[in-house]
Amino acid sequence: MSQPAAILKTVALRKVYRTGSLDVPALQGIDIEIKEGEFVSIMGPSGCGKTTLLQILGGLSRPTSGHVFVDGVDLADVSDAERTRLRCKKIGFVFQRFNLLTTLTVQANIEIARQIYGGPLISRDEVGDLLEIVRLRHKLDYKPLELSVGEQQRVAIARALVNNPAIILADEPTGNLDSRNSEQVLRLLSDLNREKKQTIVMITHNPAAAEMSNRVIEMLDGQVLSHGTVAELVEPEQAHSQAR
Amino acid sequence: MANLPLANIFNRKTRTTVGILAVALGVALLLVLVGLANGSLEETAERIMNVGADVLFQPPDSSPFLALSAGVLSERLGERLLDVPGVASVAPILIGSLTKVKGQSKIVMMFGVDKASYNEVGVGLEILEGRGLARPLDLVVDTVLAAADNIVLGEKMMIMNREFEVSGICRAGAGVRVFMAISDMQEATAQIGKASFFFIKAAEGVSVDDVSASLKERFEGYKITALARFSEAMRENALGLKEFIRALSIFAALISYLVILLAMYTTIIERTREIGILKALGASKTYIIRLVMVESFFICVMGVVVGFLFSFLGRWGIITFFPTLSVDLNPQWFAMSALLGISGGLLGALYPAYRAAKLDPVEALNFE
Repeated sequence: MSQPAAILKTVALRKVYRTGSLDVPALQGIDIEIKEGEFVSIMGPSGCGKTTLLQILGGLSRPTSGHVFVDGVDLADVSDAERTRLRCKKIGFVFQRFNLLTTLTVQANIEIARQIYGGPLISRDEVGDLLEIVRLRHKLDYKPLELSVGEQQRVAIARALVNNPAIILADEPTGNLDSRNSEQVLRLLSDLNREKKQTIVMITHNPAAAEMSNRVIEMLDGQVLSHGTVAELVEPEQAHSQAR
Repeated sequence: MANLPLANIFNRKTRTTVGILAVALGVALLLVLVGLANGSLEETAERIMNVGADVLFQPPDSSPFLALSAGVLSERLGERLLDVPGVASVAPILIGSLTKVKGQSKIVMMFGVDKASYNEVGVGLEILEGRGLARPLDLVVDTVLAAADNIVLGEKMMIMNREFEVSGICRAGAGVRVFMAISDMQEATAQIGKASFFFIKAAEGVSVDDVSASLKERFEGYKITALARFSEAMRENALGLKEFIRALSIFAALISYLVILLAMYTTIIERTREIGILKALGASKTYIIRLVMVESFFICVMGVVVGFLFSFLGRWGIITFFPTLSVDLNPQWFAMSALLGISGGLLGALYPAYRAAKLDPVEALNFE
């Protein structure tokens, strides 16, 4: 049986932020490969470069040097407009802070993602079906601030799914949620990965959350420390205590 | 379908209201002030045309603005004018100005007329109350001025150091608002035997053009204007009017430009995070620019509509409280003010839109 192709790949990826006259390295030569349909967690302490890596993988930011391939296209080689187009067609983002547009209803938040994508307009029924996946069909006409934080994150996930992206990048999607809502969101991501074969890259601090994924990439000081399953990388007791 | 510009307009009520009101102010100012300038001009011209004469005969190099005319013509020139073929009647007019009404400063143009010839060249003075110009130092005012300044029959008015008596109220709409006998005005202004211009009536069956041509032939250098095109002549000679209107137009567009620039610039800063979200969703620079421009367009259009309403309100206020003034709200200027208000606003939105499009998505998403 043939191995799935790498949908995300970085080669000697470096990112340096300039603060005044000071260069602050955020990523120092990252080489990773994520295969189509994988569910990968990125773990590591705050400031280790996880979010920077996710932003570069999603085309929100450019690397200082090195290469990042999304479905075979090197983002380092393409124009801003091309990067934007690729992000729009291939990637769905889920953020820790949900990042919903508070002036729009839940339905309009989902519609606008389709509008930007440029595909055929999405009907109210289709939006309802999408919200059914996150069990929020009845909240179509609510505004984000009228929803609980867990519901907001589920809407954000529905929005990320509207254009059926090949890759979902989730930056601490459970960071602002309680354990019950966290569990729901993680199960949702896991189901999407299993049933729709969507590639998911999720940043998390929580080993219990990372257990949902097939593989964990551990980072430290802008470098990849190790790859493996949670069981391989984290002592079971530690995982248990951090999850609590 | 998701309409972010409309949602933002309705969710940012104060910003939207201020933007709309400012654009409306520019539009209404332009409409009312241009309307006032054109209206006063048109109304004056119309009243002169309504006298009913066919030709205006003035000294060489005269202005169609009759108030600027001096009494330099001999009244006896009228006899020579009557000799011109096709001329049926001639009425000498001496121009004067009333500078105070009931102690209040006001400039009102007066005609010194010879009652008989004035009535002959046109519709004449249609006296509604009183005896009209029957005795020396009689004064006739029209219904508009009488109503505006509560002038009643028998009232004494000091004009040019002489006490006149209001002896008649005439129908407004023809000539000027105040009339006196030409002899009284000649005496009061030490212009005995003089006239400022003549109204001429063409004989029945003779074309005004033919009479004008005959007059021009006989009186070379004199200014001879067919009254049918008097309004046009006034507009052409209105010194500074075009410049005034141009300045007002620039002013209105500038208000829209500055207000929308400020409103949208503030909005973009306030909504940096929102723009970051849109960019994360894959919005292109064009999409962001279009979003800002569409929002500004809606604000400008609403501002223009409110500006139209304000201008009607302004006209109502002016003609109610200042009945001698006239505001001509011309459809052409509605279109022009809408164009200026909207284009000024869109121009003002360009820079904020460009800035929004240039925002770095990561920085925008981290904006607090």
